Amino acid sequence: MSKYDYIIVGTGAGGATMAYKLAKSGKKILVLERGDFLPRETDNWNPKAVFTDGKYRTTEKWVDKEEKEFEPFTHYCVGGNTKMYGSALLRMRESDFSDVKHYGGISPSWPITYDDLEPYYTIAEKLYHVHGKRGVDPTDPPASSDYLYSPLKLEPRMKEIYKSFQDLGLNPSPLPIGVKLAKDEKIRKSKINLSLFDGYPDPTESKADAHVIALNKALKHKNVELKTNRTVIKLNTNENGDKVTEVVCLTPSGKTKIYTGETIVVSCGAINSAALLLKSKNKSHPNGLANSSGMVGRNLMLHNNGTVVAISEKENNSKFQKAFIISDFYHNAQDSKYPLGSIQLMGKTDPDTLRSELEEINPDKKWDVDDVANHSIDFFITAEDLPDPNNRVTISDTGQIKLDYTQNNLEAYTRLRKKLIGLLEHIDCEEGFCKDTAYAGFKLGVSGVSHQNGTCRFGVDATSSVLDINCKSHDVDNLYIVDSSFFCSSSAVNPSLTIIANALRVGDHLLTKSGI
Amino acid sequence: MAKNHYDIIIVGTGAGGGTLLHKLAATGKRILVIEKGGYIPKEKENWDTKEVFIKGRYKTKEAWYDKNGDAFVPGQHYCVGGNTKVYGAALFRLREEDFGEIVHHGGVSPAWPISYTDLKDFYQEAENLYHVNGERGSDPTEPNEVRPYSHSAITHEPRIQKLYDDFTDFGLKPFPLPIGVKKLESNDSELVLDRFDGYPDPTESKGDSHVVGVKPNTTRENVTIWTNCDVQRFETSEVKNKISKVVAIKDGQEISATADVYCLCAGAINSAAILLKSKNDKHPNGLANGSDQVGRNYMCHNNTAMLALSIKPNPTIFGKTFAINDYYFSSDDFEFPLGHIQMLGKSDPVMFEEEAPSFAPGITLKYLAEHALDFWLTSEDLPDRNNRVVIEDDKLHLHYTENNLEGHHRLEKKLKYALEHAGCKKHLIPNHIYLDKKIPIGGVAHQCGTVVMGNDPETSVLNNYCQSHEVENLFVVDGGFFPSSAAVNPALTIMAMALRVGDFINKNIVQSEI
Repeated sequence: MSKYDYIIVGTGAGGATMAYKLAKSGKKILVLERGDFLPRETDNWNPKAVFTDGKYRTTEKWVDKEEKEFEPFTHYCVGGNTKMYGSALLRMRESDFSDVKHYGGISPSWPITYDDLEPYYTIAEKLYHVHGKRGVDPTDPPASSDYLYSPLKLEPRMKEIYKSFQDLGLNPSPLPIGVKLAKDEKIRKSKINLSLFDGYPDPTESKADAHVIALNKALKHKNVELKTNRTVIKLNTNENGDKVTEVVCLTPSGKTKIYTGETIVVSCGAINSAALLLKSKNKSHPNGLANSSGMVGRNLMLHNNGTVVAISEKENNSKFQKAFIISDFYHNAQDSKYPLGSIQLMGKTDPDTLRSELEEINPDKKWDVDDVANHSIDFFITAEDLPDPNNRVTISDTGQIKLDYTQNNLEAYTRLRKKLIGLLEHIDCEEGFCKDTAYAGFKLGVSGVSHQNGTCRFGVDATSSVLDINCKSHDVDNLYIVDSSFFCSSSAVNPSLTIIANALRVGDHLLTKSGI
Repeated sequence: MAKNHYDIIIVGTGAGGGTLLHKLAATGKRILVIEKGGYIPKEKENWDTKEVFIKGRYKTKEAWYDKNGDAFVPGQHYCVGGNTKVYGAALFRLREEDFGEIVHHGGVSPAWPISYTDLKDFYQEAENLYHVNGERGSDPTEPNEVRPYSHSAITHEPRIQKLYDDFTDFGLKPFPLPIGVKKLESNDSELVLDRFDGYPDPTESKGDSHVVGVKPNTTRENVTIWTNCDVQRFETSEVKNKISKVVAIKDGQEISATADVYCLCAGAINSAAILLKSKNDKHPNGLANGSDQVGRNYMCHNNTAMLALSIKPNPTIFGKTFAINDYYFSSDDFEFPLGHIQMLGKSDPVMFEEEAPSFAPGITLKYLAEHALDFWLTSEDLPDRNNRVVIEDDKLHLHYTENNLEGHHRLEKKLKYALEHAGCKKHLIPNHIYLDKKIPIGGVAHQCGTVVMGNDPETSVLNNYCQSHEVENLFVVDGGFFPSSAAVNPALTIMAMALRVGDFINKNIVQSEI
């Protein structure tokens, strides 16, 4: 049986980036992925297949705190959830690394500072082709270099709304988006129309996802090997329990495969990584692997995320709607001394979801969904949720993943939503939102796990955290976790770029450790 | 050196121009490529049947006129890659016999001034360049070649395999269709070809002339590309029979450029039109037209799309995987050529929205699409000097009268007979089982013949290397040079010829002048 220097479990933002980082070392690397490559096919761009039928989502069922089954919004495939993400790649704000007081309690500080991560953010932005502009967003943290690529151009209707927000004294700023555009390279090639981007896999492979950007580059190195359709079900340790000795996988046909490696890097996503550790309990680790602190699976955060679909009289034929972000209420607001969160534009709500939202807000009115879609503007609002040890991942008696999750810090979310709607009522007044205003949208529930984090938090104190500051398990010498499990708080920006930057940071640590 | 002077100017980026660029770019010669259209964007509409087929999103909106003066919109695509952006990438060599004279029911298909041997190596080079997947030796009429295709044939999906087996049992010799599409490498995402034939490919896996010929050369210092630039005419010099410059319109402005060599690759119809529009005192009938052959002998094949409705569902994703050439030269009851049959990409119900209701009462479009077997029949049409491109009042007229139809009708009957008598018989719906549509004048995908090549300057426009007999610095490299249309898709022959002409230009023309 071959022995690897590194085994990386998972190919999402964390795992693929780690594979990329370690590839050049020449070390023997095995990358395991439970899913397969997503096919490039017509359905990639079919809203019904993607959203309604969930063609690319897992069919796995998880249970909530009431033991009720639900279908998690998660994707097992090469590239993980980044295949579907909207590629909004934001840095956390400087203050996110310190204690911040919220309506619902304290968002705790991290054991590292923004400055520790800053160089890696810069590399991550270049690697993932982030298009953005510094210095427009008032909450932007200091950066050591400019974005390599200028922001995506605002389409006319987006420009209007952008301007309207500015007229209200706000500071909208272009959303930093990771995408390979024709104009990025000198080579002249076909332009890409990003009309179905946010939430859809990209058959043109222009979206900067972990598969296209990081894993493909890693796989160009002969020392890197990818095995798909390998679900890691257990990590076995030596007698002492201080070393993972075996990575046990299941194939789709039910065969067991065992791999051994010097260093094991787990990156299954915060929920599945915690579940894997819990399922790997043994004599030396009776509460789950690497869980002497009892914190594995706890402090699950998902963000308070919601959509607001504002229906305006005015036509909106924007192709790429995910254009800008408003961070003015990130730290506080005139009428709020505590943080509210961030407001972003998002990709268009898919027709079936929109139809059910419209029925909910006004069941009597016969909406023409296409017509509404041609006028609506879709916002995504994110407010921080706080770590609560009782919000946790466990394994049910039937072996299913169970999410005990109760929303918290909702005051921030509610105020943020009101804030946005209040603002919208002041713009476009001549023929706009305020005339016959309707708002659809919904608050994401427990199944909306795309921003999952916090389940194996890192820290200096081994009794209250799972990982050390290099994301190595306090308990197990050769075990690292590089997905968002390590987050101590969720902040109110999309977590991907922070996962990517951290994977680069931990990768540096691993290379230094092995003398490279 | 003057501004806008190049070693070579190539007009058009389709099968001819794109391939020629590939061949010439590596020499380091300064090349200007002029393309009438822009780059087709990669967007969701690439795969939207309604946008592509019904609304004609990527087609020109230009009107041409038929022999009765009625306007029509041709199935013509002005974009980088030309018509190959939307082709089905069926890449066939002509048969060895196609280069000789063949007697048809409707007349004689004339011989070419070159033989298969002259093109053979270039066919091989073109097949490798365009990623052709195929199986050598499987086509009973295929020309002599021992070198294999670089990629093995695409596997038939179960329903197509069943049909293939039924035909084989019936005594026919179906064979894998040679298709140009990049093979997946070990760590590529799977590619599902459910919208391929007729659609642009946002994954850029299809072997089209943009992806294969143009794109890899756009970074070269020596290559300049003017897109959305519409060539109006060539002007000639006073003294010699040479082009002195090309004049085009870009952003509403007239713009011109000069070169040592001009390669016109605008497609058989537009190349003829540009030559005709370039008439001047020295060339009163149009440039390079002392023979009066420019624009004449237009051919486009007798093409028919036919659906056979089967009781058994056809859930095939990519159906374009086999062809039948048993009737290429004759049949048991007909001594003349009938033609070629190939499978088409799977039909989409949207395609029938406008035409189907009269077809079979009670059968829904969805049922139709889910049960149809899709065929494409091609028979040779013959060169006729009255089938021609004419410029009148600055408008493009395409005079075309169908000919040699007997073989084509018989081919259709043969296919129906085979379907009714092969094992598939019991699956077919007994009445109204076919929907067939002869491709009308707007179907110009297989356009050829308008700038015919030959040894005699009196009766042909181009010599064996597609060089004008009269205008020594002019080459025309698209379907225009075809002396006969054969009965297979013309793209690979255009590509192979472009490689041959490129070779010739590299060896004999540009080098000697520098």
